[in-house]
Amino acid sequence: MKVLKMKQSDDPQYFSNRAQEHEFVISEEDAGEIDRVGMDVARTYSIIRQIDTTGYESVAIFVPIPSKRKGY
Amino acid sequence: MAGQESDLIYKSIAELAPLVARGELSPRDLVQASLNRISQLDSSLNAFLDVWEEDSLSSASIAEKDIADGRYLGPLHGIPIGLKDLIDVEGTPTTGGSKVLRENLAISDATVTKNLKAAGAILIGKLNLVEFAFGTTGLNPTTGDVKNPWDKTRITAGSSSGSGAAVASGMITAALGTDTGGSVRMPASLCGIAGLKPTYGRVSRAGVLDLSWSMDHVGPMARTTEDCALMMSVLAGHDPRDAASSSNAVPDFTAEIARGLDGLKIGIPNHYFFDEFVDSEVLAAVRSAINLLEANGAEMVELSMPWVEKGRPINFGIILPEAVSIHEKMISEHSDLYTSEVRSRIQSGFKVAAVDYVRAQRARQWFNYQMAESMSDVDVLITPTVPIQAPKIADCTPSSGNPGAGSELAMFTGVFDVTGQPSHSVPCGFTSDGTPIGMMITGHPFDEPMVLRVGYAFEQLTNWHQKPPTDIPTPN
Repeated sequence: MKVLKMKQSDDPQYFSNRAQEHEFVISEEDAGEIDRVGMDVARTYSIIRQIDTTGYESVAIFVPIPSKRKGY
Repeated sequence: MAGQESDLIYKSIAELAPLVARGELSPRDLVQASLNRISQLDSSLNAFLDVWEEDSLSSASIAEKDIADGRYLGPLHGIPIGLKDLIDVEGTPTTGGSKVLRENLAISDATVTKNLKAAGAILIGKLNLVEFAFGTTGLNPTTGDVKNPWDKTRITAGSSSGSGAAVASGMITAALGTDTGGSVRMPASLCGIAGLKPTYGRVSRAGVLDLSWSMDHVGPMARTTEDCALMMSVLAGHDPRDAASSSNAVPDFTAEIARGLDGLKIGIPNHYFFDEFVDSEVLAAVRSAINLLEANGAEMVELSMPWVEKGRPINFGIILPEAVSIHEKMISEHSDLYTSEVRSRIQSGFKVAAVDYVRAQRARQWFNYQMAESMSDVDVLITPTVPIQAPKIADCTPSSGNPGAGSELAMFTGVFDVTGQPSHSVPCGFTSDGTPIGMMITGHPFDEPMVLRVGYAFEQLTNWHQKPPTDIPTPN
């Protein structure tokens, strides 16, 4: 399995390289836009990280599928 | 016929249905009026991606015969309705407004499509949208931008942009939209119509393209609140095809709609929704609406909600990784077919850490708890639907050098996608430039009847919803 390194910067070149790794077609315009959106994304999670969510686990992370075996 | 058509175009379902039921209005004439209006306007508004002229007329003829033979199916029978192009209709393409899915033929109907067909609604065609519903302005470089019928230089908002413009301009009587960050309510607000985002799980999403499975809602967009209620009576209900579909009992959405405002407690948040960053004309219109509701029997309760500004970041923080997960395979195979805007958004999401997504989900639980506590003494909240006036299309187009215009649109609506509460936008005034302003009414989970009751009461006191758009020709 290939492990992709996470990087903390919003450098457009990083996203461009990352996109190339995924074999995406990416233009310079895309790279600039990714940089801009990347800053919004960073801001979003920065706000979320400030919330103390202790005790607020999501209620439906996993729900077992009922058995499909006949007779159960 | 011409005179009759101009009378029909802006009528509500509630006005048309009795005429159809009594045989005084032919569904075929009604559908023909809709098709004529589309032919008159759509080249300038660009609301439709596909119009099914032959099929809709043929369905209308069948409806006419059925009604004449005593098989009237209810208020939607013979009514022209459009579907956002995320929703499957068997044998037709569901493109999501993208080149990626231009040949994606639906092999069966979405549950909502099936429900509308069973109720006798006439499906007129597929409506334009933001590519894959991933954006708020309503613009789409692939399918062309939808123009606001009140001012064609301005956006409709989105992502259900075609649905908003088509209903507002009288091309169809009602439409379906989807709402993940506000995509039913924002275009409803900017186009001057009613739009309801039901409780999460109330309306099936089976057969509807996902943007973010834990935030997506399907909802009605129509001329009035009563029409939204009539549509909900057909759309709501448990569906085993949708894992998130609720088994809660489905109420009669119209039974208590006319009970009025007496005894109702309406919460007015004293944070965020009425802060200084909100456009002053939007604030004035919503405050005036609140005063009117108070003067007519509702009790206003000021609510402290200092945490509520976290709602939109939580909304976006969940949408983004879920959207990336949905698009990962498609974008790796067809990235060149995506528009630059949506491709960039998805690519930006690849950097989100798993722990941040989990944090966002936990934050959602925290947020829902705060909301439930704050609303424990009120029936509904009232706020503006969007904080800004409809921006000019040119200001929202990235090439204009102003990529930020319109970015504030979902600040208020996204809050209630996080909580999954029913949330409804109704027209409550106009800006000095003549574009509509919307008021958002948000209730407790699964209490759509209360939200609809307040919206209906407001519409009985005002005529904002009856004004026709000013930047399009009158009907032929």
